[in-house]
Formats: sequence, structure tokens, C-alpha cells
Amino acid sequence: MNCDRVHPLLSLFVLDDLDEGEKVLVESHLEICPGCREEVDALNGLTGALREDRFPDRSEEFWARFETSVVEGTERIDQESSRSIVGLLKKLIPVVPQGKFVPAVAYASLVLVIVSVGALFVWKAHIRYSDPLGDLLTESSSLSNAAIVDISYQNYLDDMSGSELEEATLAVTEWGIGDLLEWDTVGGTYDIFDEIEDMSSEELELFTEELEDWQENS
Amino acid sequence: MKDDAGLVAQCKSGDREAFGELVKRYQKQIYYLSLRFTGDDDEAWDLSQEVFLRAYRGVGAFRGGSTFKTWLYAIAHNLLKNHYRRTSRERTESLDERQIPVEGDEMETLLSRERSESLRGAVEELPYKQRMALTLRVYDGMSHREIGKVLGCSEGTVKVNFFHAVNNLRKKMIPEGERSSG
Repeated sequence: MNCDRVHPLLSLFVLDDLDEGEKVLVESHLEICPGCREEVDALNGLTGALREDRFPDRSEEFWARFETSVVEGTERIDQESSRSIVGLLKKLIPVVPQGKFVPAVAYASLVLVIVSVGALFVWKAHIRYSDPLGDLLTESSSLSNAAIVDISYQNYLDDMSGSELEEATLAVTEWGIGDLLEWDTVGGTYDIFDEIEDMSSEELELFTEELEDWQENS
Repeated sequence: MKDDAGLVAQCKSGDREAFGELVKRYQKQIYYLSLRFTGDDDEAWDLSQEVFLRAYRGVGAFRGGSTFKTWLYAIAHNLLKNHYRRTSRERTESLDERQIPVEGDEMETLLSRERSESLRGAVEELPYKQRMALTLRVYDGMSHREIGKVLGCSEGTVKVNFFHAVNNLRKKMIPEGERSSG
């Protein structure tokens, strides 16, 4: 082994960080190489000086103060935590280990979202099927505009309960139908399919209010 | 006396006293490591306190893939790395200005106070990873493998950093003309 190969190993050699094979090779090289032996002496001096460079130890009182300060910090963390939503959940669900509340809440939220989306699909499918307005729209979708004009929506609305009315409103949202009525005929005949397509949210809101007012007054 | 893993398990079930015991065990090492990197008592205090508070916040998520000590040092490493980046621009004194040539018996000169200060200055000028590898090996007595876990790199990378750290110090502390080659 020549000096070029030994040299990179010397810093590890002085700290006894070489494996046995490398150590033997370096030692056998050092026996015949005064230059590398000097290098090892210098490195020993350097690492020795590094090791000597210690900070004076702090007093026992210093360390007691340090520990107390950390403990006080942990108390603050616990207090802050107990004030947060997660902290509240920690109290409500004491079986979840400390530090796993956030993942637990995340998982629970994910499950809740999945269940909610599933329930929404089922619910909407039910509305489509049972809602009278939906039925009307389904029925009229196969008719020409001229034929639809004569369809009276009045009869449907007369028979609706509050919850049915709400469902009907949701059905309108679901169908995405445009202007469903002539506003000036509220309480009369709805010219439903004159303008089909894309009722804006403001229009829908107005429609809902009008519908509810009409329901109350009729 | 309970081992670290036992105390960590107690911490996970909300035992603050168990965490206090862990603080007792490692406060000196973490504080002196911080002091070595900041060179300032107050900064070292704040940084090392923050290390323990972060550990407290995260102990529930600690899965024991490494030892608690290694994990704690990894937290310290992250904080010190940020501190190093933040303050590196403020370090205006160059290494060359601190360099004091070696004369006479190297060992004796190295051990002198002036030499020691110069050495500390030279260590401060090392790139962060070299400095951390050197510090953890020499002062904290960690193996290269342990250091790799703390720094998130391989054992080989640690050895390379350690080699460069020693080599850089060697160049700074002992001028080229006085070094011999084999």
C-alpha cells in the first residue's frame, strides 16, 4: 500500500475507526514510511487538541434550572394543546395514544368524508326517483317545448310538504335546469321549459325564496 | 433505572415525569452541542430547550426506528443546521485571520490556549456537515453509523465528511511547508 492510498485512511486510523483489515495495512505501511508516521503524529495532536477543547461544566443549579425550564415548556404545550380542538378530542377519546391524535383525527375525517359522499349519492338517487319536480322534468324532457308550456306545475306544488319542497329545490339544483318559471306567474302556471340550462346560484336562491313564499301564501 | 425506550413508552401515555428523566439524561450533551455550534450561552440555551420541546411534541409519533438519543440528536441537527444557515452570513472573521502557525513541539503548541481558540475558530469555518460529523465523532463519541442516522446519510458519507474535516483543519492549523509527505 502506497502513501496515496494510506493517506485518506489516517484520520480514521487515529480515532481507531478502521476495520481490522485496513488497520493492519496502515500499520504495516507506517512501519516503513516515516512521512506517514509524522502525519499520524500530527493528526493525533490535532484530535487530542480537539478532545481537550471542552467547555467548562456548568453547575448543578444550572442543569436543574434547565430541566425546570423544559418541564415548564411541556406544561405550556399541554395547556395549549388542551385548548385546541385536537386537545378537546384527546380528552374525549382518551384511548388514542399521545401524539397520534392528529393522524387519528385525519383518518376519522377521511372515513367521515367517504361515508358522507356515499350517503349523498344514495340520497340524491332517492330524490331523483321520488321528487315530483324531478318526475315532471323527466316526463317533460321527452316532450316538445310547445307541449310543455301547458303543463301546470301548480298541482305538484299544492301537494308538497315543507320537506318535499326542500327536496324539490335540491332536485332543481341537481338537474341544473335554467329558468324554470316566469317570475310574474308565480302562484300560477310555470312555464318550465321555455328556458332550459344553467340557472345561476343567485337565480336559484331567488327561485327558492319565491317558491317558499308562494307555498306559505297559497 | 428504566432505559430510554421504557421512558419513551411512558411519555407516549402522557407521563411528563418520564420526559423529565430523559431531559436529565441528555441535557448536557444537547446543550454543549448547541453551544459548540452557536458559541453563545443564551443561544445555546434557547436552541437546546427547543430541541427538547420539539421532542416532547413529537414523542407520540416516534416509532422507535432509531434510539431516542439518535432521534434527539437528529432534532438538534435540524435546528442547528437552520441556525448555521441563518448565521453563516454574519460570520465575517475569516479563517486566515485566525490562523496561527505551529512552532516547536506541535502537541504542546496545540494545547495552548491561544492554539485552542484558533482551533475552535477553524472548526467554526468548516462546512456544516463536516463540522457536525467531526463534533459528533470527537465530542459525543458517536460511531460513523450513528452519525449517519442523525444526519440522514450513509456511513460512507460521514467518513468522507470526517476525512475532509480533519484534512481541512490540518491544512489550516499546520502550514503546508511543515507537513511531510511519505
